[in-house]
Amino acid sequence: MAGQTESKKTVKIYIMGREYEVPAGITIMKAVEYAGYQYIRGAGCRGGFCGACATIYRLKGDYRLYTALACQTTVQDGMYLVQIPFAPAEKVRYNIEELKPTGSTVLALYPEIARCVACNACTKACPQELQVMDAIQMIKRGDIAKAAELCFDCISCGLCSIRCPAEIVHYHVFQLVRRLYGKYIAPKAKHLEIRVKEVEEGKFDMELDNLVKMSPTELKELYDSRDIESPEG
Amino acid sequence: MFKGLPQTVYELSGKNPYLCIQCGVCSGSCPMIKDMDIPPHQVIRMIQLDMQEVLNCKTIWICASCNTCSVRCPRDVDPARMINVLRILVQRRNIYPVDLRRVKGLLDLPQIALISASRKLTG
Amino acid sequence: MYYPGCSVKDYAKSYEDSAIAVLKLFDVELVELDRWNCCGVVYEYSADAVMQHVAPLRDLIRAQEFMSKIGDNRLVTLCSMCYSTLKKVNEIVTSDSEKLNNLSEYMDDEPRYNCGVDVKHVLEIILDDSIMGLKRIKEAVKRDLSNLRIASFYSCSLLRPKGIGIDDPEDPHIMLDLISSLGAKPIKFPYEKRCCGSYNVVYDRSIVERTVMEIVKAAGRWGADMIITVCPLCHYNLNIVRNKFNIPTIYFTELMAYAMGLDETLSKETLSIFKSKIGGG
Ligand code: SF4
Ligand code: SF4
Ligand code: SF4
Ligand code: SF4
Ligand code: FES
Repeated sequence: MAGQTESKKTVKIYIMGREYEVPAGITIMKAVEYAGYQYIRGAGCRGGFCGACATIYRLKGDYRLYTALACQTTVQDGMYLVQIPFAPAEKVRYNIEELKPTGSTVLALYPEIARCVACNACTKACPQELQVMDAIQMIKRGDIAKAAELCFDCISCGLCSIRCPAEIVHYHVFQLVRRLYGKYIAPKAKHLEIRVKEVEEGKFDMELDNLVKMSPTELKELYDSRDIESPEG
Repeated sequence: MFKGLPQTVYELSGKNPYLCIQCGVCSGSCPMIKDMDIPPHQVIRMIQLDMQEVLNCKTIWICASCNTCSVRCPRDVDPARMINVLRILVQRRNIYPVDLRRVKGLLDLPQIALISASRKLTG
Repeated sequence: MYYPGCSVKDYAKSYEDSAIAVLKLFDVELVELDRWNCCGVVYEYSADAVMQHVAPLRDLIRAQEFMSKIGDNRLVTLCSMCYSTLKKVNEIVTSDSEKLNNLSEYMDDEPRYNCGVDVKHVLEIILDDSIMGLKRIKEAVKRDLSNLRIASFYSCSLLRPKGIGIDDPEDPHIMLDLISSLGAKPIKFPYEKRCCGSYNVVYDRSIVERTVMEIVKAAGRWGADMIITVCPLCHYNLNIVRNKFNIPTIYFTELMAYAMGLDETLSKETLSIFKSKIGGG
């Protein structure tokens, strides 16, 4: 087993109330697997981008309820944890083409925003360290651009939404806000328009057809030998 | 000091419901009275009599917290505050008179309407 | 310091624009808090209410932080409902240290509030002789409004409850004084201190429609051409029936801006209201 070859030091954690001894220094996600659970939901990218692995925990002798992404957070001794793979919510249906980029639009679709009591629980819960409360406040005062900017890095983990006393579903709200921003406020990206036109004109059809025809091994080879942009760009 | 509803209302409002002398000034001043099922002075009377059914009346939701009654009440009973307390008592049982998602015409409303309504009507 | 509030930033932008322009004329600058949140609009009375006080208290803490930067502890609002909420909560936490302790413990993400902020409604600034005052306002008037008959609508939160309201709740006069100083004819009408129905517009719109019908109709009977108000919610509600009686409701700062010739800060709509009421101008 992998755990034996790693560091000898271990920590005690409690997954849904059951005690497990796991190697120190690994992530919550790895610890959960180490303890014998298999992920069917609640894990995705394993890189802190998809928001699937939302987790809440408490520490011994501490009343606070902490929030984290399981794939990004190391286990600590005395962690009581459970994963919340999904914050239940219904997305309101709308046609973005018919909407105006105003605060009233968002409030009319998600009127519970008006119930925000500025408790800041959402901001404290956000593993992305976003100013979630401020983003909601910007919607209330009709500043969609600022709201979109503040929630740009939201990964829809839903941790804020399970903490919110006003029962706001932030991640759906934020998606709407960013859509409104992208469609009506942000300057149009020229290169995107050109590319969309190219796609529509069928410029890439042949390339795609080739890809479809390839065998899995060929595909893998192609993927492994692809150009990777350096982050400095 | 008191028992039942009068005590609860006294604790939460800081005002003594038994001071009310049923003069009716509050109801006579109330701009919303036409839409209420029980006039404000009767609401206070029902509190005095520990009548729990006062919590089911429409009045507590129609009251606009305009405070007209409270500035005029000769006994400083502060009916606006008491009605507000009744409203909170109901909300704490997770009962709300409106479902915001079902209200029509939200798009035109100014923020101030929606925010105040959600505070007063949805807890 | 200036606390705008949500509605003033969006629905009631014309209120903000005109207020800032008028004050600037008297060298009064409203410096907007660098960070603020919605105050919640209404005040919750229950003695054990905590959650409802968090938002206004957070704003007071923001003001406290901002205060030292600009060296002035006055927090000015335009919206009368924001004024009332902030003022009331300021009063509570100042007089009830237990409540403040509770709230501070809950809001462990913020510094403690030291109760040093002074909440003011902009009308208090405008009427303060050491800052602006009616005399100086009179001198700044550029237009002849003597044919304009204007009723004032105070809004509940400017008059009530006692101790928060800034005028006599039974016989208010500050808006009438202001109208006279601007050279227009003040119309005193019995509904001036009435409630417009407030948030009932969400609960049951017909209640508000009936209420404002009575109010605006009465203003017409007493001969008013238009109504001025201090509250964005009164503004919205009263204007539901503006066309029925041809009596529009505008913000009092818009009237001031018009009287002082600050047309560039007024919306086309407001200007056309004045044009239709006094012809040309
Ligand atoms: S804003 Fe909410 S949903 Fe988005 S990342 Fe933060 S906590 Fe998760
Ligand atoms: S958790 Fe909800 S109520 Fe609290 S500040 Fe965030 S959005 Fe507002
Ligand atoms: S005005 Fe005061 S004393 Fe008179 S009936 Fe109303 S609550 Fe009672
Ligand atoms: S506060 Fe309520 S009960 Fe009192 S006068 Fe106003 S609407 Fe009527
Ligand atoms: S698995 Fe995607 S963020 Fe953790």
